[in-house]
Amino acid sequence: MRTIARSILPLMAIALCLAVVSGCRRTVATTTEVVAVSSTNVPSKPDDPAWDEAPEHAAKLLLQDLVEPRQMQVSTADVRVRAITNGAEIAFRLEWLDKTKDDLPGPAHFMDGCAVQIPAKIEANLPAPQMGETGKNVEITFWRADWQAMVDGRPDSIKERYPNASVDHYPFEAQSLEKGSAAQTEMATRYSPAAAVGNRRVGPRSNPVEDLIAEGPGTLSGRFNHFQRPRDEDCRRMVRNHHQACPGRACFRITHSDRIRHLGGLAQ
Amino acid sequence: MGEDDCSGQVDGGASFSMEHMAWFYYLARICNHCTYPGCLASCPRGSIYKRPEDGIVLVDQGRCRGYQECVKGCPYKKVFFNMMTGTSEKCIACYPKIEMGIQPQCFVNCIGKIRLAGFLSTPDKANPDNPLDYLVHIRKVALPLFPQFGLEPNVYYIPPVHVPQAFTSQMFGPGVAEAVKTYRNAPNDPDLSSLLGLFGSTEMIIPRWKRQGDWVAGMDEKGKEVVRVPLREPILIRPAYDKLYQISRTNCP
Repeated sequence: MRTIARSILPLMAIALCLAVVSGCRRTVATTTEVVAVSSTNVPSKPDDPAWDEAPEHAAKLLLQDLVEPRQMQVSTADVRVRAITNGAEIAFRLEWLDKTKDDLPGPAHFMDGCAVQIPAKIEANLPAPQMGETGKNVEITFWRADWQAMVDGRPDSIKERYPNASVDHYPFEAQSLEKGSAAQTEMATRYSPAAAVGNRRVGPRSNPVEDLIAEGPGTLSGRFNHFQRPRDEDCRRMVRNHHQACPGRACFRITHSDRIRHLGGLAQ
Repeated sequence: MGEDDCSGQVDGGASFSMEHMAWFYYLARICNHCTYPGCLASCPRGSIYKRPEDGIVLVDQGRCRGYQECVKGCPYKKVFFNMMTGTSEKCIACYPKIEMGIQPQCFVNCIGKIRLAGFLSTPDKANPDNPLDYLVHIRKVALPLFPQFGLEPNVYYIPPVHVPQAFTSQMFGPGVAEAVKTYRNAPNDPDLSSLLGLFGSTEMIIPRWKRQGDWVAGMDEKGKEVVRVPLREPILIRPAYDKLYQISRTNCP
């Protein structure tokens, strides 16, 4: 026992030194690519202690310089990625620095968001990283901060977006129309063509992510049905996503989780 | 002060000591449904299309993902982002009405009766029997807004006559002086003035027109008469004070 205790002490001292040097941030193992560690506990929250066991990969973000509108300067240099799998599911945690929290949409104002993109097939020649290419689909899980805010309880209303807005009257809010009735719904969709055709841009949302496929820039579409909201049972990726603003630091942590279908090789 | 209010005498007159004298005009601006739409070209997703059958430019509300590139790409600023739907929206030229041969609602509603909607031929196939061809191609009294953008907008304006032409020529191109001259001469120009009388006379699109003496008719494609109006509307002068009912009939006694 004594021997064991002696061997632990120097390790503890080293660990203490590292803790002092790195401040509040634990030193983590880094990797040159995303490496998923095996664990029976696939975390669903970004601050789960289980993430401490996973190595971190600082993924440098590529420019979107392929099609207009080209992005010739990156707004975020890199994203720190960790991954954990239990063999059936895999979760990714994305973390990046961001000085502002942008979760309200508006004219020429875009929200914080991120996505995990995976080739639909694991093969020798992988699809182009910029949303895939013809015949080589990629599957994309897309998270947006405004959807998360809605899921977290922010009402999907004009008042939330413009607190001082004054609206005289919307026909679909007429007192003569019972709220939620077929007549009221019909009137409301008449004034919201995107809702009428089932465009998933329209709130309210019960899920902060979208499940998408693409085979090149401009081809992004819903994985199940482009024109309809996905059914709950289809949303296999959508149930365990969560984000959190890190206290004391301007960063976001997002967890994407997915059931593994093709990712056997990647998840080893 | 409202435009129709009785204001009485304005001390010193309505003048500015600025770049120019005070003048104003209305410029009703809808989507121009351009021949070469900037919004369409700027959409990374191909969510905007121009219908081959009538040239109406539409945003596919099922496909739009709210990138707002079209909002930036339209120099006329006629696409708007609806943040409640998360998509960009624009004028649809009331296409369900157009499909029924009816003019769009803003044309029909115009209380000034200064709008006329229809289909324009290409300049080489200008048909004087088509009211729009006559105004745009033959008499050249209606001009495109900011033609220098190069998008070939399909809304044409009879330029305001009281605005300095140094200004309006920037907006409507070099044809402004001639267009204003032609329009000012309309009282002596039975064809032009009668055609202007057809504006707002019917809800239907009238692809053909014909003046017959002091009357002008709007017709359908087959020449069947849709509407008929006089060259000069009869004028009724009503006394300011109605002796029968002992009441003043004007707003400004």
